[in-house]
Amino acid sequence: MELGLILGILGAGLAVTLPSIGSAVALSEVGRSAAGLISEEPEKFGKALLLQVLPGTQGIYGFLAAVLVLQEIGLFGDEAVEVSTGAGWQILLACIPITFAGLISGIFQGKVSVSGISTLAKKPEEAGKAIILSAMVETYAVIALLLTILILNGITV
Amino acid sequence: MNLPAKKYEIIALKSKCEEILEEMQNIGVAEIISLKMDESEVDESEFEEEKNKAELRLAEMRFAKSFLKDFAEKDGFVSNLIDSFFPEKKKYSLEELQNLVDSGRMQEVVETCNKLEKGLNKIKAQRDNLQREIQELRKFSGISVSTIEDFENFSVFVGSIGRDKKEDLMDALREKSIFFHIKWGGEEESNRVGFYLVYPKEDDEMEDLVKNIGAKEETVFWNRHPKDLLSEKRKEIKELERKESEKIKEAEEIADEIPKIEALIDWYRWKLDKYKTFEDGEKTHNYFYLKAWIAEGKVGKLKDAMEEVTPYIMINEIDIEEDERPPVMMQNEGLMESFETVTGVYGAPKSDEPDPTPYLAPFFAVAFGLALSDAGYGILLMAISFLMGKKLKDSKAFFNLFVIAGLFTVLAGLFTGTFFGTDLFEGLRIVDAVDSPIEVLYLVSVFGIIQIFVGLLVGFFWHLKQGDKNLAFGSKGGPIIFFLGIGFFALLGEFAVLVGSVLIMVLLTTIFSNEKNLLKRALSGFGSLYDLIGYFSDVLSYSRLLALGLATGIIAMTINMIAGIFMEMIPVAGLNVIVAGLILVFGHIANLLINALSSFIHAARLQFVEFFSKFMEGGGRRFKPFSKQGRFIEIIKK
Repeated sequence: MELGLILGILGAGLAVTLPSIGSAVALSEVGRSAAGLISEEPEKFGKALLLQVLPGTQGIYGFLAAVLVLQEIGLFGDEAVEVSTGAGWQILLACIPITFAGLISGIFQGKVSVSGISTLAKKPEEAGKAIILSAMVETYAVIALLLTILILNGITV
Repeated sequence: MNLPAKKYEIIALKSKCEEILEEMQNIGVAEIISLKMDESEVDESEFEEEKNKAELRLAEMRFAKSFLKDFAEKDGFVSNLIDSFFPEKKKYSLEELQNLVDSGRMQEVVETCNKLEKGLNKIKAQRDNLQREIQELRKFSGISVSTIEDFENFSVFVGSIGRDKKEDLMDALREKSIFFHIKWGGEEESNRVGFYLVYPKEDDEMEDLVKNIGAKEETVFWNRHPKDLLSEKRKEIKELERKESEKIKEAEEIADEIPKIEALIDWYRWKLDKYKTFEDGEKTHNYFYLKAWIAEGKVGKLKDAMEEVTPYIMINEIDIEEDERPPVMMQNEGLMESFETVTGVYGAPKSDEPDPTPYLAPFFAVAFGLALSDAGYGILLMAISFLMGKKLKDSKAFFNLFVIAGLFTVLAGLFTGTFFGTDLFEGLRIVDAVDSPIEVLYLVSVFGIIQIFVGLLVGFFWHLKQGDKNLAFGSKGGPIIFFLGIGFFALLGEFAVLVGSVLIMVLLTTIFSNEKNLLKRALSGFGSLYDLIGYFSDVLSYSRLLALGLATGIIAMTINMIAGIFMEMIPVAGLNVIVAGLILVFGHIANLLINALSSFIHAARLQFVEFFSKFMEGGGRRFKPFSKQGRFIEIIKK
């Protein structure tokens, strides 16, 4: 197999794996504290679920970047493409922003969501604000995703 | 828009005050200002008795509700979920509610609940007792003696042991002596078995031996054959269970009354509210005095209604003190009421700030559309929101917001030419976001610049209206000139225009500064250059719209592709269509839900962080009128 193709697959793999780990860690933390709340007030399940899924976006962003990479290197849908080593490196580097920003912002967004669960417990009418606070952290995953997309868009294989 | 709050004093004859308060609560346009210095300072209220009665009734209704809740028919998971987000209130007219109270029907329900609860508790205690006794007796079932006494030369040990140790015990006994008699009991499925052991008195180590193997000494509490007792007790339990299910059935029958109980919970809460409001006022021997916030223009309605109750009442406007913060009364109607949902997430503006709702409405809709940007999803969102709004009338304003947002999503989707991730409407496409994202990046940045510019304009005119020239021209006017400079620079390409606008901005900020000291004025002027970095990052923040739009589109494309792969992979005709269809339906619905949520949150964030900061701080206290606002019911006019 060409080194270029290998690097491309590595990039796609990292872009899915690390942000997904970030999201999974965050979702489990929020889920645990939400479960505690649900045991007392099951009617708050819907809003708790909303707070829980928020840090799940990072995993989706990573997946999105990976799909773009797979299209670029011809493993998805289109015909196989010859990926030069240089292009492979470029793709791998393009994946760096969403890979790491996704991993870390996911975990930290989870922490804000966990605090949001206590907002939901004490002042359910203010849960909307807790959701916005949690989404603030996601900004940086969005920016990273944007950069990854823009770089991938600029690479010609 | 924000209605200006005015402060009023209300003076009335004390003898009429209950009717007055009742009518004020019905109309619900006044927020009462408590004149109590502190909470503990409550003098003996004239309504002490009524208050206590209402408190008692409220507690009873709450008890009945929590008791009956366990017997109510359970709704499905989905309808519970929907109800937790969008609760629907039952509609009552005041007469209907009064009739319900007067009928005393709910009082009967409370009494029945009381009886049922006591009965059920008693049955439970009896059953627990019986079950304990049965547990004990089961070990001894099969032993035919009913009383066991010591003999002159023999000792008797009554005990129980785990079934698995039975053989060990027998072995140990056999090893020790041949002079013993043991009788075993125990039902087949019980894991402990009872026995009695008769042995010669002089064998005084027998007891220790038996205990060492793990037997436990038991007291004989039965005086008849355990087997007979067992079947008797089991019969008793059956009888108890029959009684219990009767009571449960009765509880289930009256569980239908929960909505009415909830209505009365609201009713008694209002009553308590009324008596508390009475305590909030000042009283003399004959008169009653209240202060209240009322929206300008709504006091007439109150006055008219009051004069029907009594001619001996005065409602006068009084001055607002300097350090007082009036409540914020946002009032938006029609479409704008829907957008108030967005403002509501942030909170209220201060009482001297504009209501941001009408300003954010177009920007929120466009931002939401760009973030979701798929014509198919837009149509789906519109359809779902429209139907939900029809079904859940209390949340209609909320769903209408998504009908509008869905419309803009359709427009944005046509603009980028995506329909459920396909190119179906390629002919209408203006920009391909996937192939040329940079163009879309420019577009969303321009959108951001426009919104920030509008925000500054709103701030400028608002400060001007408030008579604060320094803030208007200095902190808003300067940046406005700068943004105009950017606009002209983009149109004309003259760099000098941009530089000139920056200079004017510095100059304006210097001239219109609150600082007296000339040096400090100049510093604040140059400080405005620093703000430009803030505007730059504000504009960059709009790039999220591109990323979110791409996210929706590309994942939709991926769902289509995966469905296509399954369509080809599965060799069975028919089955492949079903599998691919399921992937399409569930994939697109999940993608729509996740991305609509993201789009809402991020579009709202652009309003709160990038837009609001240009003309308001927020943190106002929302108007809380003294009214009959129910948690469970809504009062309607007949």
